[in-house]
Amino acid sequence: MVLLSAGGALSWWTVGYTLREGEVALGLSPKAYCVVRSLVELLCAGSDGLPDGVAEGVVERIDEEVWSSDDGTREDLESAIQLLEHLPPWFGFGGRLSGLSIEQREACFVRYLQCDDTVIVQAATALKQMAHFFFFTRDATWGAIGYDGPWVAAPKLPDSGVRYRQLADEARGKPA
Amino acid sequence: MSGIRVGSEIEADVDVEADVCVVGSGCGGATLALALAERGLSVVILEQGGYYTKRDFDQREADMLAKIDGGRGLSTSDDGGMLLTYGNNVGGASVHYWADSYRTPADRLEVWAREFGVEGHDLATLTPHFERLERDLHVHPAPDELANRMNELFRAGATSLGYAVERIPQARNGCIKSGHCAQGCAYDAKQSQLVTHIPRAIELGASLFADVRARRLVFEGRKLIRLEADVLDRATGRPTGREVRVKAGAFAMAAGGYGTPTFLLKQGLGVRLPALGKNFFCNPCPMSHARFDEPVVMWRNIPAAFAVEQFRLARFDAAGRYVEGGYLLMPNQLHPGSLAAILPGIGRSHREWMLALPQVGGAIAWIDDAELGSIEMRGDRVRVHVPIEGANASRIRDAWKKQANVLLAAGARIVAFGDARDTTVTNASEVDAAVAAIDLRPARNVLAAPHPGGGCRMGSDPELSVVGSDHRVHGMDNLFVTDPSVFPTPPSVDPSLTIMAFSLVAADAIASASGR
Repeated sequence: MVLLSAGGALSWWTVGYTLREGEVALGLSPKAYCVVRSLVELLCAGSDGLPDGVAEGVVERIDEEVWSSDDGTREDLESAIQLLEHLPPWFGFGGRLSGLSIEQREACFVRYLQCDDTVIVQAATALKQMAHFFFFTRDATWGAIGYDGPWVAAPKLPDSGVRYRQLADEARGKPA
Repeated sequence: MSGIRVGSEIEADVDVEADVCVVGSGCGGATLALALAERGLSVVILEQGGYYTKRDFDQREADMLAKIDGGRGLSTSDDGGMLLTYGNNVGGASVHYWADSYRTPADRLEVWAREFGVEGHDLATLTPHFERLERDLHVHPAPDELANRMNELFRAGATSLGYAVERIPQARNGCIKSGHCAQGCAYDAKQSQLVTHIPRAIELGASLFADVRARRLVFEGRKLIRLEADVLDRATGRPTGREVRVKAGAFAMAAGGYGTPTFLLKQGLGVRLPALGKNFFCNPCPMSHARFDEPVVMWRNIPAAFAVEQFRLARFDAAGRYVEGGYLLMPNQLHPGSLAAILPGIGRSHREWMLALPQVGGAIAWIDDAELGSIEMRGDRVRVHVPIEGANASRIRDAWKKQANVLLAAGARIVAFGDARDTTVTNASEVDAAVAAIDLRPARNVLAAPHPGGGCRMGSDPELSVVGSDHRVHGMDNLFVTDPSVFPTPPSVDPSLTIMAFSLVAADAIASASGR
């Protein structure tokens, strides 16, 4: 019985997190990458003339940001994601955050943002801010929101972005 | 630029000798380096951030945050209540600042002299330095043609409430109004240190190492004899294994309000300098967002052409109770990514704001911290504490009220305060109650902290301060601080010109200590 419980807890913690084809997690753990993907599905939905955030590469951009961050920031974000993923039962939802329907995920995430526990609010706010920032900095969103964009025509990636893309391509088996 | 070496060019350990070593290349370090080079001293500047020029400034928020912002814009105070913003590049925060260039108000200089024992930084001493800086940086009152529609509405709203509206002094030359000052000026029109004091210092023989982070100070008694620094791989921010070692007659820390106290604490100096990292301030910035019927296009032109300065100093009643003020009030400028990140909520209401972007504007206030915080090391991690309570909370609430009233008077249909409960008002009669109910606990609001200082307070008492009036660290012969860390209190205006003027004052003592 104890073994079964331990096995159940382990599978609750680890099973069901599979990267999709073409996805590479360099900054986040594969599990955290999947949780972030589920949040981007919620926060950066393709509607109202806006593109779909996952298809636009918002999850990959967050992974790049985490990869580029210092160790302390990376550990904090990983912990925040794990916390948000496994808290739904304490808020009355039956399952992990990434496994909830979009409607339940939204209801749960709103509860996180407005709850009394500062650590949970902090964690949810950090993820919300990153998702929204990296969504609305994609030029594919600008037409829908009426932003006429920079006057400098060509983007120039930071060194970290160039290196991240090289490593991601290598991990996908593409030539550098 | 010849005279600047970046990390990728440093393939072996480097030993350098100079009269003075300056750590940091923002308003404090670059101005000091120039002043010393003008005296004929050899100067080496170390900058942990990268060297970028206008060709790198692509006006994309995500790209530029990664290039020029410390912590890539992700740093917060210990309780998550405050976004810590600082520069991390050659030119420091002046590369992303708004170019607001105020002289230090005389009342602050008097308080610093009277209450903290600061000498030699009075108005008479600083005035010629201000005059020189204003000439060098083309400082002038913002003309109407640089204002955007949000600026105009702010002026109209404030004026209709009876507030005096002033033109903000701007350090610009040939501004073409692209509106991307916060991402670095792609036209070299903003007079940041990158295009002013640094190239002039280099012309006079100063040298600069970018991507090089100071790691260790080596002392012999009271004398600092060597500084050891790591060369960083810019793509990862991690040391490459190569080192720059600097021997100099004098060393000046100008790594900014976060960087300098943190670095000195890491050297273990907190033991003999009890005030190190204490008395920290950062100008918390509450914002209000407003939706208008007309396009205001706040992302174009300059961020803020006009300000209400009459609330700069807090006002108290006869019994000493706070009445109002303690901040500058200005129109805000945000670009879509930043606005989206700080607007509250995740659902329909958030999206409605974003879909109305051209009609969205806002106001910001730079709060003069009344309750001071701290920087400390816990293990190897830096913890920045900013109290959002007591007198600071009163000022933040008062600023929100004034912002909302100005925006509503300017014709806003709705004003949001950006708090977690998504508090909004549509009518001036709702403002007081709505603001009073805002939850100010950490992480429930987005407050930015753009002007850190105080962690190496200047003063005469080594128990209560870190540097003396000559900017020399108490108990040291040749270690100095020339950045906003030395300010005893917030200067109550944008600090850039004060930082530079203080560096010009410090140059004499530092030149003298260098042995030249």
